Amino acid sequence: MSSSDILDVLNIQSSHVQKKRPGDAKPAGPKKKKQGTMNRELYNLIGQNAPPIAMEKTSKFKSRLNSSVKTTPWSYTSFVNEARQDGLELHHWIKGSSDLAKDKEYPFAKFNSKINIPELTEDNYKESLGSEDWSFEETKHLFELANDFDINWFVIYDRYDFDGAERSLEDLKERFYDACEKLLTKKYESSYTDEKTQTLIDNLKSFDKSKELERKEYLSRLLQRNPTEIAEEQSLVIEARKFELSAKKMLQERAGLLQLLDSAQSTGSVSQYLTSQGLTQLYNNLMLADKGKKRKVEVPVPPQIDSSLIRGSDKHKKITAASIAPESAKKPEPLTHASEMLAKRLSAEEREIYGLTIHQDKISAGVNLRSNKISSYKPAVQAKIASTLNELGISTKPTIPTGKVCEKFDELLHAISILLETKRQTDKLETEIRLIQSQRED
Amino acid sequence: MSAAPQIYGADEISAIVLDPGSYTTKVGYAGHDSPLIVSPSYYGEQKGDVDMDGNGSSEKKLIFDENSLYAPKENFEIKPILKNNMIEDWDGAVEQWKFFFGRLDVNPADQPLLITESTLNSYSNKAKAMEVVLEDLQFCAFSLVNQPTCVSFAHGRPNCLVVDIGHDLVTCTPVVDGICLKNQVMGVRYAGAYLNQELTQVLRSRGIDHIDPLYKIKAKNPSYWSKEEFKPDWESRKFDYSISKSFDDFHNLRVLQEMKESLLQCTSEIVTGPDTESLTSSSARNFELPNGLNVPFSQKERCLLGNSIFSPEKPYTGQEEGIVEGWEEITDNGNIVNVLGGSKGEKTSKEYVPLRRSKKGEDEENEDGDKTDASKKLANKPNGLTEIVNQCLLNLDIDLKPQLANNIILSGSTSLIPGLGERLNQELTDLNPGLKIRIHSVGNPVERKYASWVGGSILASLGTFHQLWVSKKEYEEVGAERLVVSRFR
Repeated sequence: MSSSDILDVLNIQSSHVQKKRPGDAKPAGPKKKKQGTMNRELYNLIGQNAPPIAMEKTSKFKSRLNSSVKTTPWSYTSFVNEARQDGLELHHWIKGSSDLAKDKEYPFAKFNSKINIPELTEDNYKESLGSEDWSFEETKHLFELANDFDINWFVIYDRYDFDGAERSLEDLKERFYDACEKLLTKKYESSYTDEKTQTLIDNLKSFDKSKELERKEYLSRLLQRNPTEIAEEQSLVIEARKFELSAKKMLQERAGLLQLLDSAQSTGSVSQYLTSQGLTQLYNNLMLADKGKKRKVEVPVPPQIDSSLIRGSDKHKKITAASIAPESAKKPEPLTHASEMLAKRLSAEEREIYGLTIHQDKISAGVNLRSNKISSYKPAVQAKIASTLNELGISTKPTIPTGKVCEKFDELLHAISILLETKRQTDKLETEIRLIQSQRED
Repeated sequence: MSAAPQIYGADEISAIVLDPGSYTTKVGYAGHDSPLIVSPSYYGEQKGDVDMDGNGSSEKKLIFDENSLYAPKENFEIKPILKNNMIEDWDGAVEQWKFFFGRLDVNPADQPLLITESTLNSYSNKAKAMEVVLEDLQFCAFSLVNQPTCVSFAHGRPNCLVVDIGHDLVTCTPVVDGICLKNQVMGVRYAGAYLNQELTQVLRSRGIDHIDPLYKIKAKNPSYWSKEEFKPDWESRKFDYSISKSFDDFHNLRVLQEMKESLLQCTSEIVTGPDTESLTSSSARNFELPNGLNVPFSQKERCLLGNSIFSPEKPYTGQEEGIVEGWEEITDNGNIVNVLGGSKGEKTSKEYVPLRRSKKGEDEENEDGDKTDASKKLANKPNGLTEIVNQCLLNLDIDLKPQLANNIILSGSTSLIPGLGERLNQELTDLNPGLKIRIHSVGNPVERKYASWVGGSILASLGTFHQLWVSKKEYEEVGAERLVVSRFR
């Protein structure tokens, strides 16, 4: 929108023009001033009037390429390919002046490689290659083809055309390898053969036509299978893979079971845990590991709990812990003063009557419920234990959790868990036995 | 991909590539991605004015320009240069090539020429080509490359089975490391020209005896075919001289070409469904002939026509049990190497015994046991596309088979019929359940049509190829006959 548009809208134009007309006669100076004031008013009215597109003065033509680098001249030069014998001159464009490439070798000449095939002459043919089946001319033809087509057997076989001779690809191969082998042996008979030549000779010797034919026979039979056979084979492969997988799984489970049945054995040295300091450290470590798994804080693992019931990942550590625990029990910690006094003053019966117990392990500070100390299991196991308790008519938490009750309850839980585990393993073994038996019957 | 630095393998020496196809000849500079000149493989011959005695003057004017070829002239004959993918009319060919080279501004003294050839090409034909190029045309160097090799280069697959469906021939050539296995080539003559004949006969069954070529039409009004006696509404141009049949045929070739492009279709299913009655149904497609007559083709007809490439024993000519004229005696069983060699009385590379091999053997028997068995299996019935490709696969060495089956390349203009590749793939897979069949075909029609030219263009611009040219010096020293045997075997 330009200012004139607004002038139009506000009808200012007409008054302006009217004003302008009488002002025609007036000198230029005041007129300009008047116009200026007019514009400023308008400018205030419409606010900022920046053009929507930044106008930039551009030159009509593309700017000249400003490059300080001199253009590289290309020159059309002739070249001779060293791979040719006739010295044919062809022309191509090269970068730089034509003098540059003058004495250079043609870059593609190096790709002119030939396979080294032993030379066949009439003399050495008579010496070692005499054969009733193959005349000299035919062998020569074969060698020529091999040379021309770089021992590409499919092509040699295709182009092989000697006097109507019927030769299979394997015939040709056998003859060629055999002849090469003999020629090489002859050549290196008197002189020393290096390792490479020797392996080459050995390789040539090892060609066996019948084996080759057999291989091809197998291959063609493989390709001639009909769709149902292919489908059958595929399904068999899938089945076999399934079997493999299940066998692997079974082996793993069996190994787990064996580990379960075996008594836990300490694997490392226990000497560092023999002191109370060492034990505390171990306990803290285990606690830390447990916390990492976001498990409820528990009492230290009681020595009687089987290591297998403790979860897997830090099994090793726990096994060590469990196995050293009895040892530390043999050497009880020095009793505290209070407990010493208690032990002196009160007999075991009296202590029981008063409900006093002397803890040999450390307890966390503060008050806590005894029922909290009842050991917990994996959720799945816990559920099964709960159902077993239900069957027995026992509540999942002891009603009056005295020390003795809790202890017994803990033992009961442990027994149930072991029972369940054993049952599971027995079931598995039984099905396995049944499976094997049924397989045998088949 | 390996980290090894890739060598830029090209070295342009501004070579010329010439690809004479059975329908079009392609010429251009090596290194370009498409030919610069694509022209019919035909030339026009205009005899001089006929004088009072009725004797034509001996002067003949040869015409090669595509536009002038289509203009009607007095005493004007159109002649084909190639037959069955091989150059037959050498005089015409040389003149035509000269015309092309003049257009491209070729300097034979420092630009070599590469010509593509059919694998069936005879030694004598090769020697002739060499002679013509190096002596008549005075090129500094020359090379002959098999068309399937070029196709394999164009696709970047050194090991492949090239199925070329052209105008005259359908050929199937195994290529190993870029070298054609010439004795295992299979081929039939049920190709583009065969479809042309079928189409002509279908038109005849509709009461259209001949196509009126475009040049005859002065005015026309669109009309729609409904019954055999139908007369199209058009006005003919008058010529005060007679026009030769070959010229008319040449014009019609273009119409038929267009018909093939717009009508044909291949389907895997056996075509059933409504017969010609449904010519007015929505699935029918109309084709407007140059004289404004719209001829309907039903879906079924179009499929039957396209499918006859696959089943030439059941051609479709407008009526059931039709016979395709001109193909009555041909029962191509795929053994093209023998067929084209024997029937023409011309020596193919297979039968030609070069000079240095003195003994002329019983070439016919020079086939291994497998192959004779295989050719026995090919009964004397016409074989379709699938049969020859399958037969070619069967004849292959077992070590090659899986690889080549996985690299089947379709080329040639006739392979552009919609659904052809799918059907071939389907049938080959059904026949060879153990093999993984994979058909490669370029979607771009230009590349499909000119695949062999493009391959030649790639080859002739390779730095490593420059040692393979046959130079004039070699030719003079060794002679064409021997060079052909040693280099273009």
